[in-house]
Amino acid sequence: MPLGRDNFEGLGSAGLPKRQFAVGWPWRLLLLSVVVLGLTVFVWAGLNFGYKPFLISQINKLDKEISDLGKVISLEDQENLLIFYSQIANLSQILKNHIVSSKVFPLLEQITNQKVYYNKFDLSLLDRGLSLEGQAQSLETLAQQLESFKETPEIERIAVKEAKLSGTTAQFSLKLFLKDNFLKFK
Amino acid sequence: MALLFFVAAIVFYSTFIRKEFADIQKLRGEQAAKNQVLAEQQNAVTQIKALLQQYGGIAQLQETLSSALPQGEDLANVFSQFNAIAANNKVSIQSINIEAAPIRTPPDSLVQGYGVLKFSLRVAGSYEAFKSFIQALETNIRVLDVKGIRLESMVAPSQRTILSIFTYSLVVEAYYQTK
Repeated sequence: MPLGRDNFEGLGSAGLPKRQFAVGWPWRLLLLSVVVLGLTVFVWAGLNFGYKPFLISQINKLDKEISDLGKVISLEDQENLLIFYSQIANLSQILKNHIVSSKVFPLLEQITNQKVYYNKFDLSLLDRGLSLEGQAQSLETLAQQLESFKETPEIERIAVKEAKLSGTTAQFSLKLFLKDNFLKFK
Repeated sequence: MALLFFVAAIVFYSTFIRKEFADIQKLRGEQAAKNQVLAEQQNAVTQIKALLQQYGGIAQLQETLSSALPQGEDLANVFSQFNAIAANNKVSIQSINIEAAPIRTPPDSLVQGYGVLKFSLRVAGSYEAFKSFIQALETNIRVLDVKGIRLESMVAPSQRTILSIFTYSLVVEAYYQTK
């Protein structure tokens, strides 16, 4: 049987829903894209006109509170307190490094041989060095004196610059290096 | 058309919303930092108020502190103290030279530095008097550090007595609080 026009009529009616299906999807896609675009605009507007100004106002409020706090204590009180605090801190530091140079006299009196005398005494705190020049009754006395210096725990080291005989007496020039904490105030 | 809207949404997101997010992150960071500063300052103010209340009651301590470490050089005070100590210990001051050393800055940034005055003194007196003079300087109310002592004796041991007069050179440092 040859195919007539009637034979396609069924197909034609069956194809109609297919055409409806093809038209519906783009419409929904369009709707979805509009919703997505609208949502992005809404989010942007919310951030730009809502949350951001809120955060800025909060920051300004905090700035004002911080600035107001600075005025709670008067400038004069602040200065006085700062100077008072500085005095305590500085005085504590100064006393920690306070020097008692007079300790060197009893030490020297105690360890000096009676047959030795000094004619030059120079204490410098820069290198904790005590330069001494003097005379000993004999070379033997000088040797005893050096031994006495050596055995003194407060003396770190001795540097003999010169020792010479002048007649029977021995003239000397030396430097004693005192221990770091010896002259410190305790 | 839908594709165009999608593309527009993507472009809008990447151009505007991402920038907004970045700005907001920055603002939130700033807000958090300022909140912390505020909390710290509130705490500091509370402590300072308590200190100020105590400070009102410790005026005497402030006075003592200022005697040991005066606010400002107060040279007249050092001179009068040198003179009084010398007179009390029977030592005569022959000369005084003053040199101002640089301000010493402590490591703590809150603490204001202190100044140093370096005095070179030439004094005359007996050995015993000089020892007492040095001890008095070291225990003076205004903190003084004897940084150098020099003695040159011109008297032979045979002529030396307990009352022999010597001349001494001293280096003394005095301190003051800078304002």
